[in-house]
Amino acid sequence: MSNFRLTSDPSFLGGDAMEKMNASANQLAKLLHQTAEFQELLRLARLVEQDPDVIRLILQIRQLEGAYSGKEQDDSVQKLHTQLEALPAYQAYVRAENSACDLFQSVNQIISSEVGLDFAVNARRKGCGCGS
Amino acid sequence: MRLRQLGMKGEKMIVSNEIQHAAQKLGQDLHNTPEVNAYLKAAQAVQENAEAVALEDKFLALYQQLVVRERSGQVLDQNELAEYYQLREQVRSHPLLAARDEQLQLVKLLFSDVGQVLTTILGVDFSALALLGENPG
Repeated sequence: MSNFRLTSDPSFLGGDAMEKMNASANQLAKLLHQTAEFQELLRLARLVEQDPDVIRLILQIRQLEGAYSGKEQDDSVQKLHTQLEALPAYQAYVRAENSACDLFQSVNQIISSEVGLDFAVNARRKGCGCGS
Repeated sequence: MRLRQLGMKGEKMIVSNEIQHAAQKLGQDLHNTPEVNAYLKAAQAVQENAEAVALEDKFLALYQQLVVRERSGQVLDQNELAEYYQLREQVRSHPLLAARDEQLQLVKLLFSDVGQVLTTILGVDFSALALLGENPG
């Protein structure tokens, strides 16, 4: 199958139109990057990635989840999640993530309301599963 | 989503004027593309056709019903599955529904490309973060 895509062809939208859109997306991304919410998310993500307790618990969860499936395993994973969620570094990261999510949701609503359909839902590569 | 259960979530945030304008500009640029225009017209054509709407509603209602029953542990019988596949085929081959869905695929390619621009600069998946905590579609 050909990899040719209309949207990648400058003659489809017109090179100027595509360039304009990329410039708009660039501008928006740069503004979002500068926000306090996003900077805080990046800062706390770096901290949480270096936290030995967080690393240990996440590795244990991954090992268990990659092993076998069963009620005992589910309980163990649940316990590890509870321990993870009790760590102050992790809680701070989740709060920052929630703030960034709220910001991105608001931005998505603005974009979507101008477009006439949901931007984020249709930008991800995933279907609803009903096979229609 | 697990992470979102831990803190405050889903609060509408007031964004700066600069971000508001940039988001509106991007939305307008997308709205003015041939892909979005064609999709909105095709979606409108579906809405104006009672038969197409009824067919799709019937299919989605059956799909939801079967999913709920399957998740509750019930075994679906052959007749129900046959009805589901028959309806799905009717939806797929309905000219208006098929035309709309074809246009939607082009919109998704476009949105995905634009989303990738946001994601590349931010270093995180814009769409995933915007949808975190929402029900999967």
